[in-house]
Amino acid sequence: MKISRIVIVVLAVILGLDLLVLIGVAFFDSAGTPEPVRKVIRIGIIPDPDRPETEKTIQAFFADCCRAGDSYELRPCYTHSYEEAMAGFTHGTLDLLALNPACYLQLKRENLARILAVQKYSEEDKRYNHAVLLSVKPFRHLSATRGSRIAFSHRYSMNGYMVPYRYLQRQLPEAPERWFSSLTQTGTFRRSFEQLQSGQVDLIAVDLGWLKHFEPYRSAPDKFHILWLSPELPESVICVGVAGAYFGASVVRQFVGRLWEEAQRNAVFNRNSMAFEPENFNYETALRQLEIFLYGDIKNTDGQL
Amino acid sequence: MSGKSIKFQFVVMIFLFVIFGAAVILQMFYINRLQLQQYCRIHETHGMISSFLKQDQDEGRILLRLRVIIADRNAAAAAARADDLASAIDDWFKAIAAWLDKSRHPELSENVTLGRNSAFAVKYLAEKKRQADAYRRVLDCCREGKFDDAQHILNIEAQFQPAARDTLAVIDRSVEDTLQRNLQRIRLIFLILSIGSLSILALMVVVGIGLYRGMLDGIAQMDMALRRISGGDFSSGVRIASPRELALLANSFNNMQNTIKIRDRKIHEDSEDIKKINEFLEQKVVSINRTVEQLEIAIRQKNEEIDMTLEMMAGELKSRLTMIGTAGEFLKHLHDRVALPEAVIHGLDKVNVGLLHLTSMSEQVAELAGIGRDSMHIQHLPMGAVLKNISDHLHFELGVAGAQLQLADDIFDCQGDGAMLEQALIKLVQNALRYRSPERECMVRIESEADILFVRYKVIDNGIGIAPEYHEKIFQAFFRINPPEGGAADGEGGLGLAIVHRIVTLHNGRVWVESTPGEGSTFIIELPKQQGR
Repeated sequence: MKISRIVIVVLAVILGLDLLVLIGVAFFDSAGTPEPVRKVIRIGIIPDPDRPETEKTIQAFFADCCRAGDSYELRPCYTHSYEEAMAGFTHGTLDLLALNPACYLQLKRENLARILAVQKYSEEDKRYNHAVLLSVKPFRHLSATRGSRIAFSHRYSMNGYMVPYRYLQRQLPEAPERWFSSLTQTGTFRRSFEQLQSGQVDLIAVDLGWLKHFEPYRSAPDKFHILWLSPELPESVICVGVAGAYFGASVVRQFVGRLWEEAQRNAVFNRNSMAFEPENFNYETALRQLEIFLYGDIKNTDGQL
Repeated sequence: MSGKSIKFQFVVMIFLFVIFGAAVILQMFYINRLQLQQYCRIHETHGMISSFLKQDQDEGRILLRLRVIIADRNAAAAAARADDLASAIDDWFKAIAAWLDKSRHPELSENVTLGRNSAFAVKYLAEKKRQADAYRRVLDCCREGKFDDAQHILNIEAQFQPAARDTLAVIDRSVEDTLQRNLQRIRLIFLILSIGSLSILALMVVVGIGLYRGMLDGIAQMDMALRRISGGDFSSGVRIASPRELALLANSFNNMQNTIKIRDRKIHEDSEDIKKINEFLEQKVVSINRTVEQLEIAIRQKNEEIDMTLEMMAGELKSRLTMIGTAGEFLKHLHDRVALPEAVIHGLDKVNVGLLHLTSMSEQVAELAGIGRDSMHIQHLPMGAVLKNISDHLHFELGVAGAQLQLADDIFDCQGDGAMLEQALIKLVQNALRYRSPERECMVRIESEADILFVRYKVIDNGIGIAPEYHEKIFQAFFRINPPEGGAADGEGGLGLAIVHRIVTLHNGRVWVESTPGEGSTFIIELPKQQGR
């Protein structure tokens, strides 16, 4: 009686062990759950030597976006110059590009980009988003600047070159290259300001918001004279290639959609230094005005811009 | 009888043992298989890394050629070299796709995690495709003379070219992951099989203990029952339920116990009868023995009386004969003074001869009757010295008969009465001299032999021999064979060999003769080595 029960238990245990072994072998023979494939998206970031925090801010923003959209992997690309970023974006090497609206308009005119998100400034920053022509000499009028020396930052800088240069083109009776005795590009606002202080140049084009926080200027603003203050300019943008880049239009579309969703969340925009928001009507209006300012009714041009 | 048999339990044990062995073999087999897979993985990983390094080298060559074209800034030259370079880019990309295809092969997918389910493979291929497209764009820019753009594209792409070590790190990580996974698998399988093996082993021990205890208990019960039965207790039987063989044995044992019980009772009853018969027989034997002893005593007394009577008669006869002889001598001396007729003289001579014979016979009879009447002096006898005495004693008779007595060198000693045995041997030698052959010189030889129990003395002669029908009769009293012509005068009266026989018999020995008529005789005296008292 007992032995028969024991035999049954023994057989049951053996069968159970065999079953366990089979399950173990079958389970561990599989390669496991496949790792999800995350699409790689390259974003071009143009370094701003005067505002190094920009890179970090953009990086943090996209990190949040990518965490939310776990199907994507963002790879930032810090270009050496605006030219390199523009060329990369134009030829599809970069998928996204953060740049000023003037450059965006340039790409848009070639139908190479569209806006993905707009950088959101604080109200104070927005008030100071102007381009200025700054001088040490007290020029009373623009006509007094003939023969003087002028310095810009670089040719893709909206406040440091594109808008002031366009203004000069519009206001001066002849091309700025001929009106001024010298026209140089320093690369950065800081270098332009230093040259102005040292007397190497008589006039520089800088950003008002930057100037407001620049300590040498804040310590002695009376030494300098603002010759011209531009209208309020639109904020910087993140744009995406219209063609959807080379790695797949569908991927970019999905990422853009994800970015829109993430951009609409307040948590993403609660950043003081740098934040983004979807493009709205006001921004489109401002962008249109800038486009008219830059490209409408050009008289004094040497073929540039 | 309801219990399982030992055979069944052994089958269970063997079954468990087979399962245990199979589990161990499976464990060894599986671990060996996984080890082989590890070797395969390492081998394939080595192949993958080698081919990857070749692709990386090819990409480096393409980049170098692109940078040379850009550095030349010659659109025409760039256009001339673009086709060749474009095909190189195509080949390079195809090689990458083929490499990834190989890594996706189902047979290798388990070994290399860059396979079918690998995100790395998809990403890597996409990035390389993008890089290939970028290189083609660079070529297009060069054809169009946009060398700055081409340079910019290359600069950007340079940031996205994964370093070879990064890819190798991915491969290394994937291989490590695979190895770790396999290691975990080995550990788990080892754990499962070990638990299974130990469980089976434990069950084997349990079954073995059960089997052992079942058998041991049964055997102990049987042992107790046997002890009880050997002590005569048949009161209870053996009760064993399991295992079946022992239960059957216990059943047979109980049957045997019942049978023994019945037979024991019968034997007990029979033994009572036998005991009574034995007592009766013992009483009878004691009675008979007592009667025999009485008879023996009576016979001995009667024999002693006969012997004494014979001796007395022989002595009386001898004295009377002496008186008659004295009277005869007187008559012969009277003849010297008074002439007597010749017939009387002749008759007196015959009477003297008859008297001598009768005197000799009476002496023999007295000697025969006196043998053994006195107590025997049993002692160790140096037979060499005894035979030397015999030779000296018979020296005269031997000389008269012209015979030679030879004594063997190695004569064994014995135990006995020296005078009696010497007398017996003298009688045998005298007998040999008496029945010597007139045709040849008489030769008598005495020799001995011995074994574990007896010593034998042989008296060998070359006399006339004895016919076989007389071999036993010659030892009877008064039986005689006429001596041959020229033989010695018969002074024994047929009692010599009877005396020998009587002496040997008193020594618990025996005497017999082996003889061939006309050739000689051998008398053999056989005595025990140790004489009882």
